[in-house]
Amino acid sequence: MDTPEHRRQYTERIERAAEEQREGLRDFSDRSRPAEERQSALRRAVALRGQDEVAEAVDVILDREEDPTLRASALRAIGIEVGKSHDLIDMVIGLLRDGDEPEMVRQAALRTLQQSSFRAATFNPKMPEYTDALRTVIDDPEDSLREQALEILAQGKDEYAQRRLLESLEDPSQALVSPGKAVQLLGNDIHADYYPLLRDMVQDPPSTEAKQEAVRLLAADPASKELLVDILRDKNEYREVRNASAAALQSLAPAEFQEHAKQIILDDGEYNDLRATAIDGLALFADQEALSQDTELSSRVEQLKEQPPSDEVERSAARYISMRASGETGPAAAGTNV
Amino acid sequence: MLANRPLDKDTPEETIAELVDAVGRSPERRDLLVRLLPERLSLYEGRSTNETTRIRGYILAAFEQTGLPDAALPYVLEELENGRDAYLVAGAAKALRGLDSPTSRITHFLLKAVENVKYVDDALTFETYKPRWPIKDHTTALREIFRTFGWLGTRARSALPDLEALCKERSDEFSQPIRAEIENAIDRIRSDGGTAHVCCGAVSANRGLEIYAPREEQRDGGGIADIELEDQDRNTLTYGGFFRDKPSIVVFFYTRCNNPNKCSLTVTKLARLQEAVADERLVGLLKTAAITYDPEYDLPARLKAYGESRGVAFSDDDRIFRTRTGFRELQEYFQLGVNFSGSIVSRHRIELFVLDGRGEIVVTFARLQWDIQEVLEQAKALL
Repeated sequence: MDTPEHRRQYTERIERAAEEQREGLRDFSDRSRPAEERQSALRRAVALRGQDEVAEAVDVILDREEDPTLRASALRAIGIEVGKSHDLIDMVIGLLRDGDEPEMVRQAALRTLQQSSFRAATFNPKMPEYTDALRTVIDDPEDSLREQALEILAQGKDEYAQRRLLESLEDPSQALVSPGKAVQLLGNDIHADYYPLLRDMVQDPPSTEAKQEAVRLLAADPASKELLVDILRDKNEYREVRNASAAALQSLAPAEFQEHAKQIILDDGEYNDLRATAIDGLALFADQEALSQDTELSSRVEQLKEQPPSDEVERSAARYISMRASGETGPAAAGTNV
Repeated sequence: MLANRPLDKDTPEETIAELVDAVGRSPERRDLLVRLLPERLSLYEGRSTNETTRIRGYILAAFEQTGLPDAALPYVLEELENGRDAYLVAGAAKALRGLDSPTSRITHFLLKAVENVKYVDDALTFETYKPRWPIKDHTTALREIFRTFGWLGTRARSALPDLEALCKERSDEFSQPIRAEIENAIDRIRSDGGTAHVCCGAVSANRGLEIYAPREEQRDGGGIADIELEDQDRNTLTYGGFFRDKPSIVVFFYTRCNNPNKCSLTVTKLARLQEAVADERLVGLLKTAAITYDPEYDLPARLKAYGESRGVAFSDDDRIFRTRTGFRELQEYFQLGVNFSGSIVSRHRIELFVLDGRGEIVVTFARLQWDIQEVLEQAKALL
């Protein structure tokens, strides 16, 4: 195809798209049409970016007589523009705050704000107002809104969200989310002071999921070293929890992990997934000098490769042997803070 | 009555807040609040970072009402210079409005605070302790900082070019209410007919950086000589084995610190200090060290990666340590400005020590950012 022809076709396509956009906007703005048709027209228009288009969308968004689905769609359609304007951010924050607005509109508001928050240059100055609104929403009767708001705040290590999550773990009658979720959210910040609660939760867990999450987070708490060792050694414990404990101990206390990992590898009565975790942990993170002198361990890993009790153990044993042979080693200890 | 009760780690934070409120009603007792500020107090033992922040921010803000004593000024300036928590920075900005003799010197700290909290500003209130949302009429750290500029009036005249730049070239970095606050501050500074004093008042005498010689009981390092240290390469030696024969410069830090103006910057500056030592041909005559507050977590590999990524050069005389034994004794000897919740550091100050050839403290630099050349001069004086 010659270049002028290619250019002509391309220009036609652009003009067609622009016309569809104009038609879509016209139909969307035509309030005599049914909401479904306007919704469909809005989809054709894709994103609304011009000043008039945004103004038209704002009229629809703020009009409580309009269909909530259409309002939410209009909000999404101006999402990019919201991130560029403090006035629009204020308007959307107002929608999020307003408990009388339909949930669908507030959900769209929250999503739009969260997306806009990545446009740091414009959004940062509005952060206090946004945070203020989110803190209000964590008491909302709508579960989904409440959980999303908590999640956003917890990721930002928000003091108020952490305080409320701790309260909800201490007193289930004040629970904002499930215990497992609360633990997970608190885990965003090692300074959130949840380790005593986590240790209690491990002793008396509300669910296996919550216990597993708690054990995972205890990886950052040196005071929990003994507890993690106890869990790892407890054959009556759930395998998932023991696996989480192995990973946590490896990060927290590599020397202790090495000792207990070896016992697990040598023990034919152990679960295969746990043995695989132990082999991988040693291959990647253990003191390679000490390992090279441990003939008992080396010959057992060789044996597990030759007569594997499971595919995962075979793979881990092969990786261990290959890394030892090539002299390739992981870091001498667990993850590093840089 | 409240003030006469000993406050310690078991005192509910609400009780401490009541005391702060009570002192607010009786400003003549404001020294009580100053006594609650050192991080190492048992009052903060076992309290979380959040709880510690709430208590300290509430105390700082109360100085607006009670008046700000000289002794509290280092804590206030420390927050403005290094703080990244909006609540503490806002409290510090309010506290300055309690100064009896405000001077232009504090504008530098306020401008630093603007940059520190610009991206972490927050909706907050000092109307109640531990507020529950929704709250009415929140303030923010930036708002409090610019109000303090306005309060300074003509004494903030030297900051006018910076404030005008914030209002014009950098106006998109602020929300409309904050821009209004900046404009208001500029108007108040311009319209204040008073004379700016730069040479008098508390701040000129107390620049916030605590540099001091040790107390007599701190001089004898013999009591900690046997403390076992492990360096970034897993070599073990004793405190007395390393800190001897040559003067040393030692800083404290921990790798999990989330304030970039504190531990991360301290270790980065330690690396620059090592370069200055080399530039002055003092290699082999001085030792440098960093010791972690978090010895159980900061294992050698973590220490090494943290130091390397900040440019620290390692040698026999330059190491990063964790204690294997005796952290408590070390903490006591250095009077470290740190406290913990369980094993997690909840709050600490910036601190650097110059030690003599016997490992004994000669000079302490604490709270504000230390100057590399000033530290080096102190160490050189020991050669």
